[in-house]
Amino acid sequence: MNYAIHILITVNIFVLLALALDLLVGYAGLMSLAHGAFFGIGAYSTALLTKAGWPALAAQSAGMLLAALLSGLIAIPSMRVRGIYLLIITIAVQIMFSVAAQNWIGLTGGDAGLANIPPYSIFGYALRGVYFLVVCTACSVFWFLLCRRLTTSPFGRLLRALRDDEVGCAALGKNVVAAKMAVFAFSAALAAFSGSLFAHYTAYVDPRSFEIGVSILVLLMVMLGGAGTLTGPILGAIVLSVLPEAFKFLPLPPGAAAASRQLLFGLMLVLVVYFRPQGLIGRRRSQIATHG
Amino acid sequence: MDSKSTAVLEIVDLHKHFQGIVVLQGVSLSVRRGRITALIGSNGAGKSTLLNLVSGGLQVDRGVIYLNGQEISALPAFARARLGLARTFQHPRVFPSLTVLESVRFAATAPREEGLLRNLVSARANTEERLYESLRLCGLEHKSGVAAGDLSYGEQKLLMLAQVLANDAEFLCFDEICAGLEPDVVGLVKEMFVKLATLGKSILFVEHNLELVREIADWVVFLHSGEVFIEGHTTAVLENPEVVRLYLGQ
Amino acid sequence: MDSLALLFNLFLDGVATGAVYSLIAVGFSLLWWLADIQHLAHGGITLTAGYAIFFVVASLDLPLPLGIVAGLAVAALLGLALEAGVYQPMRLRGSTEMALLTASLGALIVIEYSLTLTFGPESVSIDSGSLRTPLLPDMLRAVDRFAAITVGVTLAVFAGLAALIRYTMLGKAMRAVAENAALAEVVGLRVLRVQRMAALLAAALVTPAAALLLYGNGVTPSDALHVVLTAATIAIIGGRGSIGGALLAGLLVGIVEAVMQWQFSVGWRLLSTFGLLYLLLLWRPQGLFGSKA
Repeated sequence: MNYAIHILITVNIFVLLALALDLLVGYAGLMSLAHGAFFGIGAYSTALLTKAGWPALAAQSAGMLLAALLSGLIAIPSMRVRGIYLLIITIAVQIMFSVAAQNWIGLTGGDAGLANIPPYSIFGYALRGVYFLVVCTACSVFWFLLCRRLTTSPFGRLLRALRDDEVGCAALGKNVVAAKMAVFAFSAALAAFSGSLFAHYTAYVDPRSFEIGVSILVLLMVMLGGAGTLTGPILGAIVLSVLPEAFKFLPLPPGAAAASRQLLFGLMLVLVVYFRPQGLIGRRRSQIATHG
Repeated sequence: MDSKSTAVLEIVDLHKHFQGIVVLQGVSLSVRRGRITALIGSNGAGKSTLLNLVSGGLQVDRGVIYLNGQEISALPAFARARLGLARTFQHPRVFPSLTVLESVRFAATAPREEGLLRNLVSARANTEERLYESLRLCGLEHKSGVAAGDLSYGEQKLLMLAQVLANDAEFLCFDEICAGLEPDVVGLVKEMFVKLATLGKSILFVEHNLELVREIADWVVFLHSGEVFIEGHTTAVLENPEVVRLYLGQ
Repeated sequence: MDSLALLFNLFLDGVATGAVYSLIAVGFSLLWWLADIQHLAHGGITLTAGYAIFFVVASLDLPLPLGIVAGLAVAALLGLALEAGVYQPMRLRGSTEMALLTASLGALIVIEYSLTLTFGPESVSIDSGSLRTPLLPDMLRAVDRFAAITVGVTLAVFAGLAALIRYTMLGKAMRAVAENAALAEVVGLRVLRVQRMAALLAAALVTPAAALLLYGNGVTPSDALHVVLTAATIAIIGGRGSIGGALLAGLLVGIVEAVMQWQFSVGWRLLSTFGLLYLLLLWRPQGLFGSKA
């Protein structure tokens, strides 16, 4: 029973991350590997602030705000650069976060991390176990509905048009920069929200949980499920949260299990974009019109 | 001659060069409100460059551009668009993943309706009238559900036009809108130009199709070697012996 | 040793490190320029070459030249396999840039963890022994035979590459394809073939770098991403497709990284590289020597 609850909570946490990344990758067409860092900002903010006595919701909000602000670091250069340039900037932000988490020992505890994080509590009620699961699930549903509202709104349409042709958008008077900053901020804030839940759940954070491997895993969830569908990434999150559990039952030597898992993820990434780039439930996009 | 109040676009002494090659050297002209002005000249005369400088796709090396008396030379493209300037491109420039209807809706939506926070709270629908009117004028009302990327070349050009119409800008720039279009579609475009003029729009269009220029332009500017060679009423310019020698006779 | 001497030695150290970076970066830059491929797996290929050399020299106990040949062969095969088997088919199919980047990333991960499973996660290196004895007295202690070889090999490779690009048929073909692939196709150049040759070349170029790494600080599978990131950063700073740019930018990055150690602990070193990149991208995205895309 406890095992099932553990899996479901993990699924919820990844669902939130996948939704956050899908807004960027699937709708705005901006590739990012920085979500491990935003996840981490939410987690560390919650850890530090709740241990200092802040209420859980306030700490969570602070983390979300901080992540949104930090996302500006990526959004600003994205005005002038795209494609691999942007990707490298997101990787740079991700790595710099990892470096800071490991080396700013005074704040983050370095590799030792921060322990004894109080559980998630609302109005003084500490939520653990199945009650925490209920809250997580409610959050997933809430954020899914919010994201869906956003993507079916004029803002969502703006994102899709942006992805197709930024110059065309500018010619129609749309502020491309503001839109990118907004979607980055929202996406980062959602990832941080998820990080807060994670910190409360595990009661312990250390840099290893927020490295680039997490960013890559979330990207795989999005691409596997189908970028730009919202429901696709949710499916991807479920599949890829459950799959590693299967590895635990295989008779592999200790270190090899983790490496094999990562190998499989890498392989899946290649196979998905090679054979079925629209993912499990996505649809093929129209070919880009030639502009001469 | 014209005071700034009747000129919707005013260009003063524009210079532009690319890696040592001078494309425009001291171009000055103004487009009067409600007028259809044609920009003609041989390839390489600098017509498209001029259009790009006006719309903000390129930065001027020297010179000033005024829109309705306001200087726009330093403004980014989207800001100029918000001040009432719209343009089409030489090659069909559409949003492949939006449907025809979505594209037109997109063009018609004011930027302030598209903010993230606003759309978290409530998403309001557009007035459909103007949208269907734009589609009807371009003959695309039966294809409203088709993705823009799936349209033919000609249809995409028409969609580009429909977007500009839906955008309701008052100063329109067209860059060889008729290139590659079937004759009957060109007829449609002609009708649209006339309609736009009656709506009080001001138009500056680059065109090689001189028959079209003769039929709809009020004013013609002949660009040669990066300078304004001559400008004036349509017949006067097109029958000018120098223009014939330098351009039309070819 | 006093502080200034330390700084100076760090500087020289940086030159040597930077030289190795340049070798890795130039291959990346070439592929990007020619095939518009951002070949993240390049880092994996570099490490694989290193491990191949290690296997031949340390495990099989064969002389270094054979190791180099093995490294070249393995790197070339892997590079060619990726270009012809993954990237080209995807490009021909009209895959998006994001899809190609993702495929490259996936390939990098597959390579990295294949190496981990085969050789273990720890770093491997070969002792360079006597090459490390300083050639010059105290102030210039960092100048040992190994450093001299590093710089020498780098300069030789770059000179050879520059000559290839400028004077050979392949070089001319590459320049034509980079300028305008569609036009090159029309004129009769087999673009696909040229791109494959470029992939081979890029893979070959990393082999000396891999050897230098192996005899230096060693190679670790988990370095893969860092290696290619540094290479990409250098390629961007130097300007896509610019060989001279790759060399200068590589030296710059190497020196800045090394000199940072004078004041900051190793963990923060990466900050300098990325900080540099960040500022550059804001100011001049085409790099120091590139032309506007």
